[in-house]
Amino acid sequence: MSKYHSTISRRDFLKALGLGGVGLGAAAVMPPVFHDLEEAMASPQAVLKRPSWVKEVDKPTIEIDWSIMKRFNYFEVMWAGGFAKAWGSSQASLIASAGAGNTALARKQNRPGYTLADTALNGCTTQATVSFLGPRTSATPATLGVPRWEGTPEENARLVRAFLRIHGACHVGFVELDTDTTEKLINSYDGAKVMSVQGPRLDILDVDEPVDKPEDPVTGGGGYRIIPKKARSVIVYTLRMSPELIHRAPGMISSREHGYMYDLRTIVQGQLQNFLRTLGYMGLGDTLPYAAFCQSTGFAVLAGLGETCRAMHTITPDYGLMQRVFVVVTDLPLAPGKPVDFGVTKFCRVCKKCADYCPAQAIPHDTEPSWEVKGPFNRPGVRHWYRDEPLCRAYIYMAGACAICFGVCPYSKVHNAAYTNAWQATVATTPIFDRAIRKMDDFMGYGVRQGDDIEKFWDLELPPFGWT
Amino acid sequence: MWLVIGLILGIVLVALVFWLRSRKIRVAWYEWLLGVLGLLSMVFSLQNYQASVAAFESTAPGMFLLVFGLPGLILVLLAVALALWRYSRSTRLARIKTDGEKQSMPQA
Repeated sequence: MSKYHSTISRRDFLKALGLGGVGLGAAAVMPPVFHDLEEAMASPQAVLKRPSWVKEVDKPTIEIDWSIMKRFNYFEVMWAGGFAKAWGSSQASLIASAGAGNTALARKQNRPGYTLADTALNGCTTQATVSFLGPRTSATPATLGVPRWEGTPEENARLVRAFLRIHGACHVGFVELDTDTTEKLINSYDGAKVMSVQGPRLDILDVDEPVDKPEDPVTGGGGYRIIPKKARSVIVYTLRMSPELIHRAPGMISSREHGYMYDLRTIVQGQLQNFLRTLGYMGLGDTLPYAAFCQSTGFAVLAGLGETCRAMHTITPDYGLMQRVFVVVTDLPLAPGKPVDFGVTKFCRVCKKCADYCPAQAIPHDTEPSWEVKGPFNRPGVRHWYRDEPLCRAYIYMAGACAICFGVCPYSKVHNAAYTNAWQATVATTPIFDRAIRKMDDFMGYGVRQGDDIEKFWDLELPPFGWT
Repeated sequence: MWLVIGLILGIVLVALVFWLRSRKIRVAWYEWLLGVLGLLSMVFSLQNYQASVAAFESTAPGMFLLVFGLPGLILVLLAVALALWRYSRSTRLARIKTDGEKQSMPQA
């Protein structure tokens, strides 16, 4: 046996000595050392760990009718052409310019969340590029003179999970593409660089190689992209957001945290695509810095990373809403996960805190979810609390940014308080205390920061990445 | 930190049991129950206080002390008060009994 395989981590060593608890803090800040892929696959990072009260289920906790669902045109979303379509061009321009005026005034008045420092924080994005096919800068099995990687779907899943975990992903899961069901979560049209332009068509065809052919290289509009039918696996991963930034919504500080996750995604996605390329497989990803070519939340739910909620985001047992979900499609066979149930959708029926605090009142207060969509900007086929997207986007324009639904959700308290773990375990087991837990959340003063607390951000001694 | 707190609590409890035995103070089961419940509530409150402070929460740390810490402290104090009251009552009764016996003894 190689002597490298006898290497144990600092944490295991300390645990063996009975000093696990003492050394945990010190060991946690040290990066793990892997000497080969097999070692990485055998590492704790290669396993998706969940608390005992998270149960695997056969069907997602939110109902899906695949016969109603159709592949969605990204142009309908508020961040592309949907906003002008919903409000009318002149009204949409008016809202956008009024919003820009509002933000400028808030900046001049030095309002908390809009100061020059906050604006600089939000504007620091490098807007690095991502691409459908990836950077293609890594070696391939052909250039290395070796056969491509072959493993069972389970081994491959552990491999990809280990890779993504050491590159910053919090949760990693997998979904198998099926023409009649999960394939419908991939958009029919991708986004374009210019939001008023219809993006390239996304076809899933029986071809050997993927194709990326937008018609106009400047706008990124028109043309087509092809996902080969043989690419049947979806890799779903999350990048963790800082609660401290998100709890300062609305404003430039919380806005930066969303922007940062997209920035980080450009790096992680490119690295994953290069990794898959060297193994001998394709990795097809998002093409725009702030857009997705599929319904990421849907894939996260099917992969068992979390449950969806009233605010239409993903809630995970570990971080609540404090993560963003990203997706890459590959032809590497990967063992799919199963959906999970830890009581979120039942709790959402009672809690309604996001709906209460939504300044645009875009999140419905209805107790039961509905099959009825609010407009072409919603994707039908899911029994959900469909958000009024034009209202949501209009408020984002007017306030410059918003993430209040992320910040106020009781699940967004991700610190290690025993109380948080206790109520989450209770909610996962029985819904009878849901109303009391929501009331307790208000009583304890949880929610977004207000007034001067917003600017205290600059005085905080935050841990790396602001992960409190 | 919690390992240290656990050790301190363990040592204090063991010392308390020895002290009670040396003083021949008997504590009723319900006094133990009140004391343990109060202690658990106080530890729970402290853990949540510390975690909330670490998460830069502004209101929650104080609320945890108020909602869980204060009732916990009251329970512990109640348990101590009950035990002391019973102890002083029993010693007083014993003294009265002894005095009574002395008075009823025939004069030599």
